[in-house]
Amino acid sequence: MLAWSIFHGAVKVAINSDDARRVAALAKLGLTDDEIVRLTADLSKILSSFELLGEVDGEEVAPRLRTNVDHTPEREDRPVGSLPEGKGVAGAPDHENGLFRVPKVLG
Amino acid sequence: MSGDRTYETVIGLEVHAHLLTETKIFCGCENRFGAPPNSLVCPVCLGMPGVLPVLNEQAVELAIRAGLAFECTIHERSIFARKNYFYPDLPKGYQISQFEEPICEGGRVPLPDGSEVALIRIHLEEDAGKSFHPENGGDHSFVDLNRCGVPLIEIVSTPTIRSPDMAYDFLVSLKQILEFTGISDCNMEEGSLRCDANVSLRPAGEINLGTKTELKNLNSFRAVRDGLKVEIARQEKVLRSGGEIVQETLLWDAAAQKVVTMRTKEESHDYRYFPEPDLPPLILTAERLEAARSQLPELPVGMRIRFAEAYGLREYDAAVLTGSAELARFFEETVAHFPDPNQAANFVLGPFLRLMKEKNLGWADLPITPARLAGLLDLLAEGSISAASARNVLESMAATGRDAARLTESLGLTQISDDGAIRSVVREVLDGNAPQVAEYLAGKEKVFGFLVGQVMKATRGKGNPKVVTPIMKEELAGRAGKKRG
Ligand SMILES: [Zn+2]
Repeated sequence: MLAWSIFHGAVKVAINSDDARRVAALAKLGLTDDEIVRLTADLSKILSSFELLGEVDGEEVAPRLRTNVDHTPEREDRPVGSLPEGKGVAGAPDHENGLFRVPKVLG
Repeated sequence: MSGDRTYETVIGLEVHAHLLTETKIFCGCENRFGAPPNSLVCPVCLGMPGVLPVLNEQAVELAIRAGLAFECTIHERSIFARKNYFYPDLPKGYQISQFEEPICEGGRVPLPDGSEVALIRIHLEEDAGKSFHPENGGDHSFVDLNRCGVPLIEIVSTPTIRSPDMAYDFLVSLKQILEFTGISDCNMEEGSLRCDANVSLRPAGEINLGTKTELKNLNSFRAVRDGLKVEIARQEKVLRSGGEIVQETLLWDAAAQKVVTMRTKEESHDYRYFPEPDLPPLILTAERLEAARSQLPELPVGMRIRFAEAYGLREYDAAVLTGSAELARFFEETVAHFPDPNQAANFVLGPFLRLMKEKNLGWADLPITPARLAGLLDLLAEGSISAASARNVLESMAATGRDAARLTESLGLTQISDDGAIRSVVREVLDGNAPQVAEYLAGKEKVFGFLVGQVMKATRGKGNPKVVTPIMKEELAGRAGKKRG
């Protein structure tokens, strides 16, 4: 899995244009062939930057996703209020009767 | 060749249950159904840049409670993960869920026949918003994000469910436990409980699983049962004709009673789970688990046994009374005010539940309180009202919320048990029905019922039959003597 490999750092990742197309399809992005070529190069470059981490000797270090905090803080289950009505949709490109209006989706 | 094989059904269920918290899982917006669209939203649940989720402690408590109620292994350490997909009801572009290292693993759901279905896991996650696709919406859909961030547990069964009826029993039992423990209100109309089913067939005796389909849009337990029946029949037909099952996601269309393809495997999601960088691991202390264990509410199976033993109820009655948390609570409060549990059970399971159903009454704001019902049972037990009148009083009580004694009086339903009053009515009836009296005295004993009926008519149903019958016999015996003399 691509994302896991980023976090596991040391895995060498090469991206080809099929990978880029697949990621674009999952993100529902319609990209032109030119854009795919450009993004394949960009993504490969970004991922290869992570490979630098492989140069560090991490043998003795336990995998860790964050620094400082060992366990997640929890908050009391008490309402603190929401945005004033209408404010939530106000910044959206399109809305109607308090609802976000989006291109038709099914399922 | 494959035509005369028998097939075994393999069903696994995934149930999503909203947790009964005051607020959402990662922000302080209210967790409430029915508010105006997008009125319970904030930068966190809208997925604005730069915000951070903070876990709701009560959501964790309820997930722990679920782990205890279903006898799971509750992990001291669990982690959150991002499940990535793009859909307008998910503003962040990912759902915070648990993937590797969920809070609970294993566990079981008991079935009515004493068997059980093993669980794979229970994990915590946030719900997405709700999208609408109105007929007249043209090229548009509409999105309400009030539900976005509502805390959920997802309960995943092992694929060991063997029939649609077993799936139904599993869901009934699961819902009962979630309700009894206050984990979820399980309101299916409001989407608080949702179910997806994975189903496949394999030749009887085969160990490997066949290709499965996933059935969605199962909006009621009945939809689960009906949808599974139709899908199993469809798969069987395909297999018998030598065909192959295509792995796909199907939607159940309850109106048409058929399944519709939603997406095939090629289009299926690739969620690209990875650990949520914004949330450190959830660590549960032994003290916290112990406290939750000691506060775990009574579970349905235990309560059913206790009802049968402590109140001397029939097994069946105890099972029905503990069928829902509200009903069980109502019954217990009623018998706290009324000494005869069996009589109370008969009335609650009979006229009371019938009225609730007929009038479509809900438990919230029910004007019939346990104390008021106990008052009515007292009147019935001491013979002050007839069983028929008790039903009338109950109906008025549901409408007015007044107590039984006052309603009985104002409706003029107080039963006449006074000997003198009854005797004079009996005499009038016998005087007015001389031919029937003669028939009775000639040995036609069936007429007795008619004569008692006439007394009840004359008293408008208020004559206490326990008083009327002996007096009627006495009076008829007297007339027999006279006739002979
Ligand atoms: Zn919020």
